[in-house]
Amino acid sequence: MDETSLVSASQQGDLGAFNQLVENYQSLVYNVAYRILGDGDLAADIAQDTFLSAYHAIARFRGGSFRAWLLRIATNACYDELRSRRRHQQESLEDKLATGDDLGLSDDDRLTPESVAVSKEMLEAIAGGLNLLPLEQRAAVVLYDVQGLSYEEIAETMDCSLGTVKSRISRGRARLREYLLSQRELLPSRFRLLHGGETP
Amino acid sequence: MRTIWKNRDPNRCESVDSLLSPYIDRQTSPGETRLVEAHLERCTACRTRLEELRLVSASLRALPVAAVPRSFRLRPDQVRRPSPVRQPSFIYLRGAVAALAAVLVLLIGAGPLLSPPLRMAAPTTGDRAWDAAPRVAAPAPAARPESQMPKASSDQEATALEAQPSPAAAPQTPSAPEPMASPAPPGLGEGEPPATAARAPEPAAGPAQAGVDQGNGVPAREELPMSGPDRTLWALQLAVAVTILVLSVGAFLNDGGRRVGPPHA
Repeated sequence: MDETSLVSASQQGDLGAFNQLVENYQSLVYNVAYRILGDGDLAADIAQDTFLSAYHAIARFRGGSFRAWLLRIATNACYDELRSRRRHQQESLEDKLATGDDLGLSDDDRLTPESVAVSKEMLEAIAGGLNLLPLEQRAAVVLYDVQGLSYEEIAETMDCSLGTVKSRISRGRARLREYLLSQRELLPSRFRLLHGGETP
Repeated sequence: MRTIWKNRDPNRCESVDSLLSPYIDRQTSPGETRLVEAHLERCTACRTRLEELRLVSASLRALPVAAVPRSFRLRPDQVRRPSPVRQPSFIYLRGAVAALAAVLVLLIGAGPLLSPPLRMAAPTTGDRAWDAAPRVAAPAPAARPESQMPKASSDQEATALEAQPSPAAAPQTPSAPEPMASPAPPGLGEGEPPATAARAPEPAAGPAQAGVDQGNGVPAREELPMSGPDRTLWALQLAVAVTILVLSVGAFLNDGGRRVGPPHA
């Protein structure tokens, strides 16, 4: 049964059909929540709530991308969770990230092509930096770079314009770049920055 | 955003800074693409910055897919259970209103069997019992906002419950309320003409308003007997009560769909 048929059957209250949709999307929903929240247990709770909410609301689904519709529920649930739990902490970290000077960056700091070879430390660093991004930028970056959605689908998921999607991804990547530059001492030498400062 | 590039100086790094990320994703317009590429040809710093942004994107894409810790399939008991997220108390309020409406339907439905003898047995309290029925049946409180529904209905129920036994235990007929049913026909006969005249227009005005007014104890009600028009009024009240019951139960059953919609519109 294709997705349209599963959605249609789910709208008639067919729990079995809906659970097939759950099977198809649970990894995506969980991983989006996991990358946005940075917490596996919390992501599992959000994923479960997302599917429960989607089941009750699916009668009002009027077509379009079911994946985007589902991810919109998930990302909104993540927003609600983070805003209620980490507002003050998030604000302070975002303020710190807002200026490169606070992170000790200079115009000479650059990432190197060696960083292409992504190590465990690099992945940890990028995941850590991801958690420090403002929510909308984080969600946009996760949906595009991590999950591979298109700009159009992200706009539908986040209920915003394509220009806003571009801006959020652009700003998110720029901040991640600054964060990685600030963390270069924590990375192995082969991941350290060469431009403007050789590895010690 | 697509037209901003026309006013940008291709020699300035700031002109292309915000375009580098969309450029990586091939999301720039032809004009923006030309602007970026023209600038990159002569700006080493921006070429480096572009590569760094590509590295960031590549690192994000390299993040491993986390294994799902458990299945998120929904069980039948999960989809029936109220969500812990939003206003679960309304479920109980709706249920209480539905149950109350059912009680009222029963009370009004039993009215024709009980009210004539009871009203004749104790005219003063009988009037109160009669007044109580329209108040109970009055749909006006049920049509109010949800927050007011339980309180208004509870008040009416209290009045109805108080009024219902009062004729049976009326001071004037403490020992045998049922034998007092025999004077009922004279009582009905006495009040029938004025009752017809007085009550005929009221159903058209709506049982809700009648119930509210009678709740204040209008003296004219004391002369009202049970008659054909009264039965018509009773039928209208019963219909209103049944409507309340149906709407309340419907609202209760539909509550789940409204309660757990998408978190944001």
